[in-house]
Amino acid sequence: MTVVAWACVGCALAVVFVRRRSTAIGFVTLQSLLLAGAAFARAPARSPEFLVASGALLLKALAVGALLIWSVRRTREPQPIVNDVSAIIRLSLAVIVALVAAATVPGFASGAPSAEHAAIALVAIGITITALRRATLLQALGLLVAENGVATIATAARGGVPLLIELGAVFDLMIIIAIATAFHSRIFGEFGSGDATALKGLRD
Amino acid sequence: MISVVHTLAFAVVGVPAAAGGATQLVRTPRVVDRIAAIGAVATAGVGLALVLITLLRLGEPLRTGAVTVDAAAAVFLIPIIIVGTTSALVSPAYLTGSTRSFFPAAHARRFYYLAFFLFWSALLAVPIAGNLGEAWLFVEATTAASAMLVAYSGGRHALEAGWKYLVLTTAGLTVALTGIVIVYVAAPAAHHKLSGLDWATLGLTSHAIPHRTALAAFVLIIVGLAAKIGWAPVHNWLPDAHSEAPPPVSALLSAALLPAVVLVAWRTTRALEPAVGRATTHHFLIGFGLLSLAVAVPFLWRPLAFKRLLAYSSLEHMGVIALGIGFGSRLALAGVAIHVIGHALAKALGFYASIPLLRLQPRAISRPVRGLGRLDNRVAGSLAISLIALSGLPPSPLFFSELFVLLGGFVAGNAVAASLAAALLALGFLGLVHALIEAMAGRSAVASDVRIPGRQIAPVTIVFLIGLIVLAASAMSVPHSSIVEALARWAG
Repeated sequence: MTVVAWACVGCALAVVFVRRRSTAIGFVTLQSLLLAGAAFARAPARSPEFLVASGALLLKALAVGALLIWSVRRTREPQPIVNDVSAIIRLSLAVIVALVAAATVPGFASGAPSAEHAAIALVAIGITITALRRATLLQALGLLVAENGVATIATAARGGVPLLIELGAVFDLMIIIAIATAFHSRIFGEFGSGDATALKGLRD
Repeated sequence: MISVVHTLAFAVVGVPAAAGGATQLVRTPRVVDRIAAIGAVATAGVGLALVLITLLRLGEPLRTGAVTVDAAAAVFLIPIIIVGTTSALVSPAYLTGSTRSFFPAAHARRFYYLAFFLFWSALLAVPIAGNLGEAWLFVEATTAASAMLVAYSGGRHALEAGWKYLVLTTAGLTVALTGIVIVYVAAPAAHHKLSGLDWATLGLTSHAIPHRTALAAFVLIIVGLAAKIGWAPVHNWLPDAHSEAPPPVSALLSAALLPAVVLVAWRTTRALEPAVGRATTHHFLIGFGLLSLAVAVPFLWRPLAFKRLLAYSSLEHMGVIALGIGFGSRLALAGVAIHVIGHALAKALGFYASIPLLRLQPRAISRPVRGLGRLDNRVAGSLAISLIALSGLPPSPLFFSELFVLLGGFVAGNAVAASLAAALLALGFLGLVHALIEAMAGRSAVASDVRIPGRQIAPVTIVFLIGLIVLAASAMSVPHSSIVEALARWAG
């Protein structure tokens, strides 16, 4: 689990760094698939509920990945969205935020201390992606990365988390991402780009 | 009787969801409106029955794994029921005048009602959720149901507001979920099942969680929920969403959603107090309260568009509720109970008044209202009642609630925080009164021969005014009431 968790952190850092939306979606889908795979690998030693939760993680990985790729194909950017903050600075900030978050949150006896740190780092990196990336779809990917951090804790913990919470969170997230892609399409149609910096008309 | 309460608790969530589904079965706008009205009245009937039975049985609260129906749930259900019903009934007035939509034009009205009723259903579930995990799911569901409602008009600003709302509140709730999962995992192994997150179970077992772990989880949960409540400094979505959403939805967001999530934060605080420490949890809430007041007050002094002014007022009032819960004395809790209901009535009336207001002065969507007193007495009256009540001018029920919260702060030994809050509330009061005078006086940008649909706001104003008067008249008896006694017993 530890290797998978840190591989997920690697995927998250790649999302901070890469320019193309489709590449970023690929990394997040890979991250979600890795988590689903790790969950399936642990399922035989756990309750049948955990197997169902593993299936939900797999479904989420595939459905959300397909939805986002479909959305990218429907909204081709006329020119690349270039961030004000350079990739190397974004990456540095994400690493710092992840390290601080992982160091601040104490262990919680899940049975996999290293995976705990990786999970907290994932949540922190996800929020950082949402805050730093300009493309609306990449901001939505940040939410997915953060949620994968929570899924990492749920998978690493000895007993998992209750099926209702696991399924509910996955279902809610899938709806949120579906709504986010609907918003992205409308924003693209209205502004001619999925660049979130255009969304600065409301100021006091 | 317990089975009746249980049934009503499920019905109050199911009836609006079914009403939302029923609105999809017809196409004629008038019939859709009627079905929505019937669904709203049915939901109100079930909801008020639940509240009434709960208030009559305060000594025997229902606390099962799935459902918690106690004094706190009853108090927080009242504004959700009243504002939800009224918002559904005034929605046709807004929809008839709206020209564009986020949804395809042919389905816009029906999709509006579907999202509206699902949002209301999720909102009604939040105060009665018996479990921290379930409560989180319902709060997240409110985001999913309401994000497209916020952007309903489909304009650029509405899209911006809806996007910010969706992203910021989801990010916050993900942080909160991290804290919830940490609490669950760190709890004793015997409680590693869904019931381990029941409010009652958590309150009994959380002491076994190591202090630092519990503190980290508590901070994550409350900060995450604060992003949804709109407590400063994580309130950025609030002014935009409140100002751009359709007025009936703005009313639900401000008067029902924000307090409902406050209750989840309050229940979490209660449940984790044994592990985190009462002083720590309460100081945390007081900090959020003072910061929210400090951030809101300068904006109440600025010449803002009316709905944005109401939004910053929401920030201020959520700060007052945070302070009341943080102070925790019986007097402060009485203030919280009055404030939750009084704020809902006053704020919802303000948003409803903005429906005819924006017809009269379309520029009021982005600029301060001017010269309203010379144009339409009914709209001006509604707006004035709303702002006077929100400012806390006596005999507004918010005057009594704020007084109780502040005195409750002194009683609880938080004199510094209560003094600071008093000063900030005084400044906020002056800001709102100034805004009211500016809105009524001054030169109007619209010719006086414009006819507006002011008639529709008159009955709503009368009903809400009666509600405010009744609340104010009974305010002095609230601290000694059995409701506050039950709240104080629960809040320890």
